[in-house]
Amino acid sequence: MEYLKPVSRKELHLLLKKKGKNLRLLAGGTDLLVRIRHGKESPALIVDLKGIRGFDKISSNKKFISIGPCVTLQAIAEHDEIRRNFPALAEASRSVGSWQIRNRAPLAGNICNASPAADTLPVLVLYDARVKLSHSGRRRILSMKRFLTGPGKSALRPDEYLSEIRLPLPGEKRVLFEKFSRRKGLDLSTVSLAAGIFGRRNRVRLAIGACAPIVKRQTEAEDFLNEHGLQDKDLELACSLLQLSPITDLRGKAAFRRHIAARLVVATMKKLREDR
Amino acid sequence: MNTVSVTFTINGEKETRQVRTDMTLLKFIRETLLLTGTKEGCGEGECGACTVIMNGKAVHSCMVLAAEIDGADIQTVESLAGSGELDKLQLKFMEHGAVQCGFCTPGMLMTAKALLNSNPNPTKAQIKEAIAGNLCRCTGYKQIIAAIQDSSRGGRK
Ligand SMILES: Cc1cc2nc3c(=O)[nH]c(=O)nc-3n(C[C@H](O)[C@H](O)[C@H](O)COP(=O)(O)OP(=O)(O)OC[C@H]3O[C@@H](n4cnc5c(N)ncnc54)[C@H](O)[C@@H]3O)c2cc1C
Ligand code: FES
Ligand code: FES
Repeated sequence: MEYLKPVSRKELHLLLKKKGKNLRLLAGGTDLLVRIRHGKESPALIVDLKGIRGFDKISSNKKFISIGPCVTLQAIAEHDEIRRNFPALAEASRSVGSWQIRNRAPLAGNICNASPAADTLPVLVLYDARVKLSHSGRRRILSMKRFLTGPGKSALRPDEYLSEIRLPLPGEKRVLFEKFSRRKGLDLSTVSLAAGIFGRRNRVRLAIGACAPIVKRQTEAEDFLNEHGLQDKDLELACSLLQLSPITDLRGKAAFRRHIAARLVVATMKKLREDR
Repeated sequence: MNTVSVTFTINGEKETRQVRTDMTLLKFIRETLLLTGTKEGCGEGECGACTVIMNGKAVHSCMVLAAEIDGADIQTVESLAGSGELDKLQLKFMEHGAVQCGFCTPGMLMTAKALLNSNPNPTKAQIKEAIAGNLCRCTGYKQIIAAIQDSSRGGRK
């Protein structure tokens, strides 16, 4: 296994172009090193992204907050502007793993992993985050919906990397992130959920994690709630419209996950309706 | 076998070494630098026994490649008594009975050290959040939390 740490974007682009397939990008390494240890991956070349200037920066303009590919989850959890505009993202970031994991793992790694249980995904989907995928001389900006293509799968091509995450301003304060796991701290979600009330028209948005191959908005339940309101009976009915296809694993049976998802929806919407 | 050269500071001393690219920082610390205070529990980020401070931040040394430490400042548990005297944290751990089998202790101490360096007066909730990734099968955590609180600037509240 070879290890390289480019110091410029140009150098990175060249490596991606030349080496393509047997190359693995390393950000925090908290997924990759576990997979290498278990023999699930054996890359010929590891390219460390942490040497490139600016990759660990958070900046903003009038339209969006921009997060570099090496900004750690801990930095996001503590960042004032993010906490003010996107509090649920700070919350979701803070819920990942442990302090040691968050000190290493960037948001970009959580996204690129594209796990259905990745804790930041429901919130990013809700906030309509965009990801910039770069490659020498080319780049594209995708919605989360277009980026996430399956469990552990994304639209990233072998010669591309995620170079930026954009959070459109103004954010929204009325968003809650909830995580149900077997123990508090250091456990992947059995079910996670992001729910919020957006804009002057008070539109409901809802996304559930760890309950389907792809984390996406629950548009049918959202439409129903937007049309009918947030009374207890509406909330119960909306739960029957959730699009879930959970798996059974050591974190919970499929039926249990469905049950928890519905209970989280009701409890969270009840908290939110006071703000409507 | 691939190797790379890394220059780093370990417990205040600058060193340059040739390291295998597939070696973790944990293995490097224990088997090359022979600093065996840092422990291996799970080897995959779950237990915190291998915690060291890298550039001021608590990290799992089992989740870092030795190749990644070029230019980094690393502190292991050996740094705490570097002057020959035990650190306040170590004394308080002893005083509060926060050590039983001791396997989690080096990692616990380094997490606590990183916390107190960045936040000299943490609340109980902040201490709990910081050490959530450090497992202890013996003490039940109460004594550990008390020891950390007692070591903080304001002492025990
Ligand atoms: C003990 C433990 C607990 C955990 N708990 C949680 C949890 O509670 N919630 C949760 O969601 N996750 C959890 N995780 C998973 C993991 O820590 C996160 O998904 C983390 O955000 C991954 O980021 P990373 O950069 O460290 O990973 P890496 O291994 O560096 O990267 C992940 C993958 O993405 C690729 N990649 C990284 N950056 C880029 C980029 N810029 N462009 C293209 N590809 C890229 C890498 O090649 C790799 O395949 C846990 C992991 C461990 C070991
Ligand atoms: S040995 Fe590193 S976290 Fe367990
Ligand atoms: S004292 Fe034994 S594991 Fe903590």
